[in-house]
Amino acid sequence: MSADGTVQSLATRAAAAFSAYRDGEVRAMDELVDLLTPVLWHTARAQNVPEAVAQDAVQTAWLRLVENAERIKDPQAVMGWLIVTVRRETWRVNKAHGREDHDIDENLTDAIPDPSTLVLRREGHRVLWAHFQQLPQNCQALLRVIAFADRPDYAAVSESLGMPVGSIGPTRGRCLAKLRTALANDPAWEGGAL
Amino acid sequence: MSTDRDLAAQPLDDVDTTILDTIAETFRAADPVPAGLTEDIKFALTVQALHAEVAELQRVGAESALARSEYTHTQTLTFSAEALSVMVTMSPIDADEVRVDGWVTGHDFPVRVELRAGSRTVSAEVDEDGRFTLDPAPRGLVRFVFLPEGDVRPVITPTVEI
Repeated sequence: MSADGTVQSLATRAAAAFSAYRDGEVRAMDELVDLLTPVLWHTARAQNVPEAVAQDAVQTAWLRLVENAERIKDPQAVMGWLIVTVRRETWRVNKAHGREDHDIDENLTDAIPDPSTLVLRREGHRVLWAHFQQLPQNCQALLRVIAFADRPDYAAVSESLGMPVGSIGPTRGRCLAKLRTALANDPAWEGGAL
Repeated sequence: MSTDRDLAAQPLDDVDTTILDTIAETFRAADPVPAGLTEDIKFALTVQALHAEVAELQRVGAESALARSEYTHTQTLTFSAEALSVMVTMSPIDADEVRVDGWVTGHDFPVRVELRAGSRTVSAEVDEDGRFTLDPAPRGLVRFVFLPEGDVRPVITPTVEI
């Protein structure tokens, strides 16, 4: 999918819904919630917090959006604004709950996907997942969030996560390059068949 | 690591797209958005469509930060908004419930307070001295909603754990 393709990127569809909402179309906010909640959910959960913390952070970010709707100059930036806000709220909520160490251990178990629920039917998927889990934590978080946006949004999302790719255009970036190198060096990967 | 650097500067190709799609598919199955989350958000936004103001959490009682998992300590939270300020004190009843005593200041209009904990809502009228009591109130992640009478914005607090 290219930036000038017929299918609009997630950030662009979000921008359209946000503009409609600001023009007084109240229902457009529901559409925006449906569009962006998945990418925001994974933004929060990529910070290794329990489900309850992630739910609260995502919900609070939406409330903040309505509070600050007039301050967002460029509707195209609304997705990035929400991602940044969810990250901050996730940190805040997790901190505010003042969880003790044993609580963290107990509550974190539900932050790690259960392998038995994974849909890793094909060998290629299993190889990919194994190498993904070897990546540094910040790379796993970045790729997890990116995966729920569209490719033209890559640069903007990376920047929202504090890991700018540092060039114009959708270049691969450090984390995806690491993953590609690891896969290329694994005979089980078989040249990228998924 | 020059290989990594070269790879990083290249444009995304079809294999990258397939990799990212597979990562999304895996997380979608392993850690789905909880059922009801988008509906909860829409509900909260509806409350906010009443032009409710999100209060700032000003202060958490020092004793509560250290004794969260114990049931024997009181906990005090302070919220402030343009329309009003609130201090709430939670006194433990048991593992599931607390008594909430609140004091609303800075307002000169009647206010109703609601405590929302998931699908459970407990409400009370704030008396003329600004005091209210919710007894019993459920423990857990909750929000307080203050609904003033007349032409004043309702106030909703961030979620707090009580």
